[in-house]
Amino acid sequence: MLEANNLVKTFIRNEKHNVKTSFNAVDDISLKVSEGEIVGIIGPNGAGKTTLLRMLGSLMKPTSGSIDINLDGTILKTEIEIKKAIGYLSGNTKLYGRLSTRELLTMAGKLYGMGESEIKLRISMIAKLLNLDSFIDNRIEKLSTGQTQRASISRCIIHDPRLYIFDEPTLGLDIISSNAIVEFMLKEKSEGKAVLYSTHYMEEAEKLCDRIIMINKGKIVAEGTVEALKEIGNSDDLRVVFGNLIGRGEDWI
Amino acid sequence: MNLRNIKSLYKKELLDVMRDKKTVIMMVVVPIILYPLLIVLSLQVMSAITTQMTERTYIISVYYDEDDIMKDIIAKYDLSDYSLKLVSTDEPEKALAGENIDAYLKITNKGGKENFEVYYISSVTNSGYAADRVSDLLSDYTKNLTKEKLELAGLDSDEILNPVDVTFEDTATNEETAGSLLSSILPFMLIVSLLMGTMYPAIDTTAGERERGTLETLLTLPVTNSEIIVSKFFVVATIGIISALLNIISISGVGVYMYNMTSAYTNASGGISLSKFAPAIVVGILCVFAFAIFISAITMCVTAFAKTYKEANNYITPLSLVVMFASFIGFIPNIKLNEKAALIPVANISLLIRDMLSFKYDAKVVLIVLLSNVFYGLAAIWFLGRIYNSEAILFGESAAGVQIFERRKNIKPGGVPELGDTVLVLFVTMFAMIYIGGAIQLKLGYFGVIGTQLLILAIPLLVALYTKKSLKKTYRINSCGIKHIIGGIIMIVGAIFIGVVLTSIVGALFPSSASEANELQNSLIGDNIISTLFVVAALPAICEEMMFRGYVLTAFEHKFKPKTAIFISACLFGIYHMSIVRFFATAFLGYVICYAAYKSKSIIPGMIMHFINNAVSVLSLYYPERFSRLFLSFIGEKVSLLDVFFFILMGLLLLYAGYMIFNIKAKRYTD
Repeated sequence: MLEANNLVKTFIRNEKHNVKTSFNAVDDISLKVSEGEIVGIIGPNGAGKTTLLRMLGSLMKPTSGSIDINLDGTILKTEIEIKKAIGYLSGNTKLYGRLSTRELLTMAGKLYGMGESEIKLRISMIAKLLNLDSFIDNRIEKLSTGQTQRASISRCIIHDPRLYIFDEPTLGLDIISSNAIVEFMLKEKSEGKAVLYSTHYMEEAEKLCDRIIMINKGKIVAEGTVEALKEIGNSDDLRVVFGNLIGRGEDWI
Repeated sequence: MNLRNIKSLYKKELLDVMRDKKTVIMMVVVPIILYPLLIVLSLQVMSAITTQMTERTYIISVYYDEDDIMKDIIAKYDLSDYSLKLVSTDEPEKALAGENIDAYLKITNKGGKENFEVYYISSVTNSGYAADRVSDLLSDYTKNLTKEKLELAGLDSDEILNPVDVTFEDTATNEETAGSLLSSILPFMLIVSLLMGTMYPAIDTTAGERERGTLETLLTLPVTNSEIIVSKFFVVATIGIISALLNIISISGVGVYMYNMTSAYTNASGGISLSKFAPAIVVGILCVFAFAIFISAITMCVTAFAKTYKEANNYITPLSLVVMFASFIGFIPNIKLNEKAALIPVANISLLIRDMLSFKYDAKVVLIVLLSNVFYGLAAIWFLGRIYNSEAILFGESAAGVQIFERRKNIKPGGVPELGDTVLVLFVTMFAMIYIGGAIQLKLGYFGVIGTQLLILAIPLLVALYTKKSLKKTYRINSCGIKHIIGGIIMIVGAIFIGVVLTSIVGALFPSSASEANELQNSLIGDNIISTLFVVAALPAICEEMMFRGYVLTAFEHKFKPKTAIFISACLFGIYHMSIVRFFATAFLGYVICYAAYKSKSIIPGMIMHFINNAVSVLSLYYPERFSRLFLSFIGEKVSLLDVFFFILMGLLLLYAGYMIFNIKAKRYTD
């Protein structure tokens, strides 16, 4: 469904005294995500996870490399087509505080090209699914953290995408809220949808992912199923596996 | 761009901004409640002060050698009729300085003639008033004395004192009086209210959105940068228009109130017929729309690159100062709104509204003002949509670098000018050309032209030096091939042919501008053809080329596709010649020269081409007969369509020939 080849993203970093240096935040990464699969991306802060996901979600243009999204045989090429096909959610995406969830969903639905009645139908479905009814017409700035998170998810699934890209969706959430998201991902997977997501939480990844891609300093360190990784890394703990693979044992944590 | 997307985004942005308390306060509370309240309050305070002034009794002292005269005055006149009261003090200077008395009078006798000296302090309001009262008293006294003396001599005092009757009649209609009153305040109020109205939403929808972190959410949706910019622009303009209209309504309300108040005082006869103001109202509202487009676009261009609210506020302060300064032009008497002034942003709106309220207007000028505002605004938004790179804005890299405000030792040497610096250079140069250049050309004439050219050279050069840019790269200091010179010369001759046609067509549309342009050209004729060639042809070929094909084109080329960079630089070159008649011709010329500079990677062909173009116009001024023979008296009265075709055909052929020569590829022949 999603195939990326040799992605590179170069940033110009402004250092002290206005000296500019360039570095590759993502350095030659290729990956594949298929239908009905949850793929996790794991790595420390600054490994390039967010940049990678932003490129895949068409929020950023890669410096070089290609991204193909294949929907039932049609290959999506333009930025707009790709954005329409995926649901993108990150811990950084904030919602419009002065709008209500319903207004937000209606606006997003229209931008995805949906008709009025289709939007209404979809909103009532999502409201049931994510339990939004009690606050759907309140201003988002008045919602609690958990409610806001649910509003966020509803925003990225309004157009019923086939592929999800989640950038640390459970970061900083309490157990109940993060469980809701984990369950949501599992449910979507069971419907044959693809999920690509990044996280810090190894346990969560272990429980959830069909495959894990470990990255460090913009490069892939290892990839495979949880079992395969544990075997390569000589440990039952994914943290230790990662440390061993980058040659630093448990130091990196 | 997808209209449906723009509509959805517009709706969202409008809801978002309108639900913010700050917008509502700026948009509704300030114009509808605060302004009228302030104006009415200050009027009431003023009238209270005036009443107090008129009702007050002013205290004066009198000093004299012989007291007969004062006794005479006191006997004849009741001082309280003049609101004066006499007291005696020993030290009048001290009493006056200590404001114990309002004025004092010194009467001396010099050679048998009474001499009155009135001492007062003009900077103290009461003292000034007291002096006026004393003056009234003394003038009545003098008149009476004259009359008495004339009658004593047996003459008819009335016939001698008033040999003729003089009366003044104000023929201004009530509407004209009201219009002239309004014209002194309305242009400024309107411009400032639009500026204030757009400032807040411009900041909120750009820097505000970025700071709140919602821009990233917006970018996950399937919308393009241009759609985002255009929808935000519409929102800013909408709010600007609403707040300006509310301001107009509120000012008019206050105006009616003031009129009623003053007419109650003065008992002015007849009311004001609003229908006379219909054209002014219609044009005024059109001005609001046109200026809203312009000012929204400009404020957004400034705020779109700010990362935070605070930063956006810092950027917008200088902009608002410039706008307010320019809007003051409506206050300056005797500045005429002609076709040229109609192109100066902000000032043109100010002058147009003033003229409309004085019932003086020229439909063509009105059209130029409205269209130029819309054009500038849309061009700015188009430009912003193109350069607005959400990725760079959102994720760090600054989009339009401004280095000029960095400390010089922190700037790394090399490279070409940053976009932000270039925009600043363009603004500053334009400003310097209009205000400094205009002034020195008026004062120094010929040398003023030299000065203006040196400004055009110096401003970008100083910035390039300060920011440690590579002068070789910035100014394309490279040698070029002989084909570039020959091709360039042929191309420029072709461009001159086309330019003549373009200028004639636009000149026919704007005859007064055309004659002005001709006058300007004629004023450039010096005594000596060599010095004229130097000032009018050689100097611009160096200075203008360094700025437009050097600094500006290089900076744009670095940021945009070559086609876009050349197009923008060419339009700017046209705009900087500040003449509608010559705009298309100079922009076209600019396009050809930009192409030559881009293709040859050297500044030299452009300088030669520029020199030839300007030299041709100088020679045509010195030897008009020969030129008219040469150009088949094209600019004469009778022009056939055939001539025009001939000119265009010649121009295109030469351009094509030059282009081919320019692009000759060196072929290697083998046996």
